[in-house]
Amino acid sequence: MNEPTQLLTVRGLTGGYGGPSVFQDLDFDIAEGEIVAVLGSNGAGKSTLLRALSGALPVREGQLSFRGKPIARTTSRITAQGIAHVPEGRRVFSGMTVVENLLIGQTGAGKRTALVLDDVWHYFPRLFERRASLGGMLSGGEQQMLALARGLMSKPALLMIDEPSLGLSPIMADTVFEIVDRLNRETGLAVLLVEQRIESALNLASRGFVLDRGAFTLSAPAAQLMSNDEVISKYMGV
Amino acid sequence: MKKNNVTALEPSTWPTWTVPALSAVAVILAITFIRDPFQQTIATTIAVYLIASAGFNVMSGYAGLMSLGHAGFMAVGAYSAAIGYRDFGWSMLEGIAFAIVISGLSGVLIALPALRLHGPYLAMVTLAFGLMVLQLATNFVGFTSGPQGVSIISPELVPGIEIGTNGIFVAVLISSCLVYLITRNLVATKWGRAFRALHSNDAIASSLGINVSRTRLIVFAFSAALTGLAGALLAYSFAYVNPDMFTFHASVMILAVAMVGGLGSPIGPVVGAMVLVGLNSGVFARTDYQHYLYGIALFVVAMFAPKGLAGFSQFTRWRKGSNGASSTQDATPGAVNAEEIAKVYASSRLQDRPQHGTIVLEASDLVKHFGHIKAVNGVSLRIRAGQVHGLIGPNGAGKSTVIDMLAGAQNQDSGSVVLGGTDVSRVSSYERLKLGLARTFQTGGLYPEFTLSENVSAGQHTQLKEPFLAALLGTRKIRRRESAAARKSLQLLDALGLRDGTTRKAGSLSYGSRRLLEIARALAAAPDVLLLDEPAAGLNPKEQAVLSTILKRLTHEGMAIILVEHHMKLVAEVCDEVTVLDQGTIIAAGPPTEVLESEEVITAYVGVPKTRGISVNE
Repeated sequence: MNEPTQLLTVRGLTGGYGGPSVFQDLDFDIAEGEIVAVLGSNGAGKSTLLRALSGALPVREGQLSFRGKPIARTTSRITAQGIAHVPEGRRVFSGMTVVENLLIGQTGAGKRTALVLDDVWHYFPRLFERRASLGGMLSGGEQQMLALARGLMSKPALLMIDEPSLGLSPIMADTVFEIVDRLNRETGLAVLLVEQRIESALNLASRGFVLDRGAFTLSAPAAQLMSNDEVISKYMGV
Repeated sequence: MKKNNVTALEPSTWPTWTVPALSAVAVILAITFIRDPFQQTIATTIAVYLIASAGFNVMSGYAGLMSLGHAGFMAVGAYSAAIGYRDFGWSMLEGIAFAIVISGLSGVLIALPALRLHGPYLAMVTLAFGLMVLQLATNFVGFTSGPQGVSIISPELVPGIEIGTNGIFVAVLISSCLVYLITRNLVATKWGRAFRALHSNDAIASSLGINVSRTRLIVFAFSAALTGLAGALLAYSFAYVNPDMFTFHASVMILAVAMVGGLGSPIGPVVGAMVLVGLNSGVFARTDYQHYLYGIALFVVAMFAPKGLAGFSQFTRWRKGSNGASSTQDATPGAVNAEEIAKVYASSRLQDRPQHGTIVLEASDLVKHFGHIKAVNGVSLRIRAGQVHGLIGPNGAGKSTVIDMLAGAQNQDSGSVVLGGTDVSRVSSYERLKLGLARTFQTGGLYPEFTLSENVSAGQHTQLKEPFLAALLGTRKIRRRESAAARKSLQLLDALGLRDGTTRKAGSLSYGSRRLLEIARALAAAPDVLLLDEPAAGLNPKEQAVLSTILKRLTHEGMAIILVEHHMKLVAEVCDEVTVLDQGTIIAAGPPTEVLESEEVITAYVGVPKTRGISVNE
């Protein structure tokens, strides 16, 4: 077995808000430099899963380790360990400029070295053009780029992205997916991706999970999922 | 800070008379057993602060308009009663009626300049009002007798009948009980929802048919009238008024009572007044420490029971593991029933439907510039009954601005909008709803602290005939209308596959389910024209297919739909006509098959299908 080194190992993860658990007893791994997609219907708990991993929600049960070390319990420490979360709906600081938004992202690195702005401009030339604009004045696509770039500023090894195509025009969604693809190929960034444009997600990812009623019902290489009957009939609606 | 702290009303299994009966028993017990004058004074103070805080709660708790000057309204009420007695010899009932009217008017007086103010700015205005009233009471000696105050010596209940101290005590207790009951009734009606809606963005409330300015005026007037009543009762109880009774300290006390008891909950002021005033005047009355008491009480509440003592029960229930959800998943996409949705929609439509194909909404040459940015530059649209009209284009093309202008949320610089034959170019959004136009928002259009069912019932605002006074009394008719509204809401939720409608809060929904809930709310208004701003965001292709079935079924009922969407498969499937915007102008229009294949549209928007072949399929 020459498995790639595991970046994130999750065993028996159970989590949710106040009420019943949203998901129970999840086991999964993410390897260095891998893109993994999480599929599932609306409300299946995909965003909740990312929130639990990023420390935004307390983990009820489960062992989580990142590069062999247990994952911290607060978001700032988790980010410092190298996991960044780009939340659904972009959430850029609308009253701050692009540069200010990015510099805030830098603080997430903790004691590690963060990215510098020049690294960002390389992947997001459009943000360079808009660097002095307020976050609230950007178009949806630009805001999504800014949210991604802000997440990258802490130089994470694993970036968790929640619905990057939300509210984006088809062409802009493609642009965003291309950037994620390039980042993965050129910098070895691992990505945990939640995305409703399932075909795009599976094109980008090497593996995927299907989250249904709080458990992973399927886990397979992306190409297999793409032609899996259950995925097609349940989620692609073909 | 737009958090709505209102405790949701839960479906109670108790008969409706339980709470009024219990309140009556409490009052009778209090009258029977509290005989000692010192205890009566404490009970009076509790009752008066209960009423004043109930007034404060209407404004700051339900409507989220923070006031730091409620003692000002109390003073207006107290002086109205006292001066009515001194100058005209009015009886207590006359004086109270006068006090309610004058303090209500003073509320309107503050509301008018403050209609658009929120948050700290509004707090400053109310603070200034409180201080101003105090200054007038102190310095306008000819009228108010200045610091020495005005006395009310043995007033009559009604002309000819003396009331006596014990009688006043009874009147105060009964009043506090009634105030609790009417505020409790009010919250359970469309007025309660409208007040709570003021917490959020005005554009949302307006899109539901709520006249925001008018509702704010009502909130101020009602809140001030209740607090004025408290002032008048205080004046009769103490047999005099002077400025010292209405200092800033009293405003803080009113606020503290509501906060400790539970802001935004009808029982909050009751609990708060008993605990805080009870401790303050009973236990700590003779010490120098009473000022610290507020501080400590507020601190403890903020730390451990942010929803107040009344909200504490809810909080502990939450800790035990019930956020109102009986299941983990908030929606069951398989359970969507398009037939049922269409049925509910068709049954609640009142007017004759426009014929299929007739133009129900026409926009001509809409222009909107923000500074030097031409967001929309000459857009014309014709929307027909029974059709879906797609509006697509790159991010920032001006689609949402067009939607806002069609809905009346923004005024166009030039151009016109005609809705069902009426020129609505300068008609506000809540009036357009009445004329048959409903909308959803791209983000944040729901009331997260409302339950799903309350959100949908808010969509029935204009259809619900609930006069304000009847709502206060909680008449049988009102209750029937409310339960019919709730039934209809649940029917729609059910048909859309959204579960736990009466217990789950909208804020706990996933992104995609929120879009569905907004659609349910818009449908509850039974519109002729529905504007959907990215309804499929957060839905996977399968769920989009379900949405497309719903939309098609609704057009069979004659509804006209404008669909702003980025999912080309949905657009191609459901639209009869598509308009493409780019940089504020129309670059293509026509049937979807033609438009989506035009070269200009592909370069500007759809993108050339790459090797991965993703765009067109989704």
